[in-house]
Amino acid sequence: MADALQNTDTVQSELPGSSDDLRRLHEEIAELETERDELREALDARDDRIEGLETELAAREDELSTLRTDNEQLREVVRDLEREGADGNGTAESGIDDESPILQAGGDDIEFGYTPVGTGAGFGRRAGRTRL
Amino acid sequence: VTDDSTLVVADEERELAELLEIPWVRDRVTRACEGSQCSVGAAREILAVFAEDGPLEAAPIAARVNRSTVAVQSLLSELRTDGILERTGERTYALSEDVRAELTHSSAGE
Repeated sequence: MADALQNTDTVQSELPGSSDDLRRLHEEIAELETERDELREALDARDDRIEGLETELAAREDELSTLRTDNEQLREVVRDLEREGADGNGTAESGIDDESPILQAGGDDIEFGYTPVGTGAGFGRRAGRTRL
Repeated sequence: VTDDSTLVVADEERELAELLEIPWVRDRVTRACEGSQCSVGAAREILAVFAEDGPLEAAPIAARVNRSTVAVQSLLSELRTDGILERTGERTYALSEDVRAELTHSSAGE
């Protein structure tokens, strides 16, 4: 860009005073080149942003997949405990809170950022949004 | 015990250290780190990978420096905004022309 402006200045200084149209054309070219460079920068910034969001989305999808797997494993543990309880004393009391949000969340309605706490089945992360 | 490859690596490390001592480079890298999820130490490792391997995408760099792709992508974006890196294609970044010139200058000055 600086080169372009410099070239424009050089050409302008060589123009005779009556060549206003030509001078204006060179000025217009310089402005268009500036605009082009700004558009390129904006485009690069948008590409950065898009790729950043795509990368983050992929990471969140991985996280969600892990949560679903963990959740399914936990459901299986609960089912086993309930079966053991039923076999042992005729009740289905497992000692696990069926109202737990982890159990209630199911596979399809987990929100991004939801992090179960302290269940002892692979969930050891702090509550809140997980750092990537 | 040193062999040729050890000397080459040491040479690259020295060039990178010199590069990061150049005020405009150091300032921009610091600013990029502040706007990203990476530390200056991570940025240094990532720039070393670029200096060694040339143009790369975020994922392989993340694997090389053992950090998340999201964090590395955030740094690459900031480094490009600050003129340390440039885009060479879709998802691909490389050291910018100005930075490569500084590295070349550093090598030629020996």
